[in-house]
Amino acid sequence: MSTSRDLPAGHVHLSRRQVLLSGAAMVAGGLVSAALPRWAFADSSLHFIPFMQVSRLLVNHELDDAVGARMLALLQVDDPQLGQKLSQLLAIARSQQATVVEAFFPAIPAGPVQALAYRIIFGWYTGSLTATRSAKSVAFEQALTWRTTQDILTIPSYGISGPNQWQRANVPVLPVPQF
Amino acid sequence: MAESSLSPVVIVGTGVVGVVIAEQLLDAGIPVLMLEAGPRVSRAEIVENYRNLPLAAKGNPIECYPSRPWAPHPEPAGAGKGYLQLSGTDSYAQSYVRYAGGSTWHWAGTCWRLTPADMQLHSRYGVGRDWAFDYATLEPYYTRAEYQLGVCGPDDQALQWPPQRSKPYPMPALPFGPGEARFTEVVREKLGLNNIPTAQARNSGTSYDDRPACCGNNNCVPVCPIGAKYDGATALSRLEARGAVIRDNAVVWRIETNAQNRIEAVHYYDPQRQSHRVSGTLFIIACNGLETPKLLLMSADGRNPDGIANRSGQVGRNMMDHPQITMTVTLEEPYWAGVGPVVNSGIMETSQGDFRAEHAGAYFRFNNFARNRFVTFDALQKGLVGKALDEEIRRMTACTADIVLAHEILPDANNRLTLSDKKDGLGLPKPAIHYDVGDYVRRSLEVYSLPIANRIADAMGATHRVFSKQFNQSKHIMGGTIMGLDPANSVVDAECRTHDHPNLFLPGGGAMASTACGNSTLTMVALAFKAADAIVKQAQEA
Repeated sequence: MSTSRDLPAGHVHLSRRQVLLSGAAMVAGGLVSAALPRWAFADSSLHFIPFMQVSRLLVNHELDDAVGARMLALLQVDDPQLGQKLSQLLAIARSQQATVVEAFFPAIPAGPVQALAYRIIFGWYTGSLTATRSAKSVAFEQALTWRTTQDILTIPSYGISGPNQWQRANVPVLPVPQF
Repeated sequence: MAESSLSPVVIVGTGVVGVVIAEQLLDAGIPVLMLEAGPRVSRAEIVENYRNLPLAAKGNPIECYPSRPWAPHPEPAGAGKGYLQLSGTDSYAQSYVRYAGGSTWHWAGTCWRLTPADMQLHSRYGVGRDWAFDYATLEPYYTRAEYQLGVCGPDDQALQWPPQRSKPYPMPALPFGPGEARFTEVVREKLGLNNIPTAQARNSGTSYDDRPACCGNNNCVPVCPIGAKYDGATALSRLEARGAVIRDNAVVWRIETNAQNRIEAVHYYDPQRQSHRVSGTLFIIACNGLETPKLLLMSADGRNPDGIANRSGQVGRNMMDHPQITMTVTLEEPYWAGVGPVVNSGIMETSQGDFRAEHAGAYFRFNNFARNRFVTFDALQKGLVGKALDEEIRRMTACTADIVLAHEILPDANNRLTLSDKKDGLGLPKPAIHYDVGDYVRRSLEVYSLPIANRIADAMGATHRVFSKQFNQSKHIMGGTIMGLDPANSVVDAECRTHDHPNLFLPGGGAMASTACGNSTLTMVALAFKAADAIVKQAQEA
């Protein structure tokens, strides 16, 4: 099955086949929440590949396509200029020949495009797009905040060890585990 | 709609107090009918509710338990928004759930006992009230409560709170995570304070009560995902298998008296607001320290114009809790809160002393919640990206901690629950609570607990500390149907039987005459056992 990982990060222009493939991947993988309206899926799928490309440039970790699809659907509802801003972010990254966020983030001008970049990062780390109790959740286990501490802390409600087996030495803050 | 109960004993409420009493009655061969205002849900439903919450809502345990329209409980949105009508210097902003199984769904499982001194504040220190009996009288019931709930705790007497015990804990203490271990070390070495293992209703290293061993899921609040922590819901199926009848979504709104001023029946609404009448010979109202006095006041009749059991005028007065201040510290070294159960240790010795003649004692607790959810938004707000962001989230998770200062409070008749003129979805009055923690608590913060907290922060190597700006509630609702020997100034007697109605019992936190500093549930359950013995005797005589 094709996924967004099949495409290079700098690839911006989508062929009809690629658009169809991205939509097929989401449908086959059951990636789109049943709670989302049909139009949201149809429209979001158009931006799925660039969205995941931007996401992987902004957040240099393993990212889950299903989480991305849910986040994209919410972003699309809020922002009619989303596709244009994604293209701008990809263009900035390409201009800097960037493969990691540190290499191009300073080149993103303050304003709506930078705000989108921060919002996408926020979404991947927290699993929601705002710090409010009514925010839609797009991820729990996959929210990256838990990955930063995965060598010592369980994701609450999941187990990390067996009965009474959690005594351990304090681990240092650095290095951050790979994820 | 009339309904004759086949059970001589009717229990209103299916929380820990109600289910413990039901089990004692069933042991004695006495059938019971239990009425629960809220729904009956599965553990899986609550766990999924939690996992599907956005990160910003995960800190509020009530978010996993949405109110039903007919049985609201306090919550930030939905049917329970604005349910409590609050006034006064401080806010009695409690949280509890009206679900089958009650609020032990989301308790931490902490099971501190009172000490002998905690029960004699008036005679020893000239403040508050003495209990109707002493610690030696309550001790056997504490032991029964610990074995019923499955409480783990230390074998070493020096680590037990209090050390006056007739039997060991049924399970050994749970191990400390690294943050608790480091905290214990620094307060002992630098301050001479003893951070001891929490006695807690959580299975330690083994199964107990047909429930599995704790695996450190760090989610005791808002819900244990595996049932290793005791909650009332774990007992419901067992009670039914033994013959108890449990009727959920049954909102009791009236207690009916007869010409002898005995309780004759209770009336409940179903979700369609159809009223049903259930008669019986003995009645136990155990539907939460706030809902119970509300129901008594709602049931006023010609014989009891101020409410059921309220000849003393004390129903709904003396509302208490453990007013708490949270100190959030930033540390140079990693502590890593969040490994193991969410509450696993505490400094209790600071709750005792002759100073109680002047101000409240306090208990200090290292909160052991994983801190990602508290720090991630702040880390993101710094505008960091990439490796710097990862490192900042990790640093803030490892190197911050919450220390809670939990105070005792004195009973004060002015801290009072009354019936609001605002109505809930069934047209029943919402509870209104006026509350002020009082000078006894404020003085403690000023001259005692805050200075100790600052010394703790120094010992931990805090580079920054922030205190909550007001007293928050611990969700330990006590005092509203206070116990005493004098019917003129108390609601229930030493068996939690109302002074006014010989067949009406009000066991639970409402009966507690003092709060001490530790969590109230184990004392509530001990009182339930004491009441159950009296109820069984009375039922058999009837």
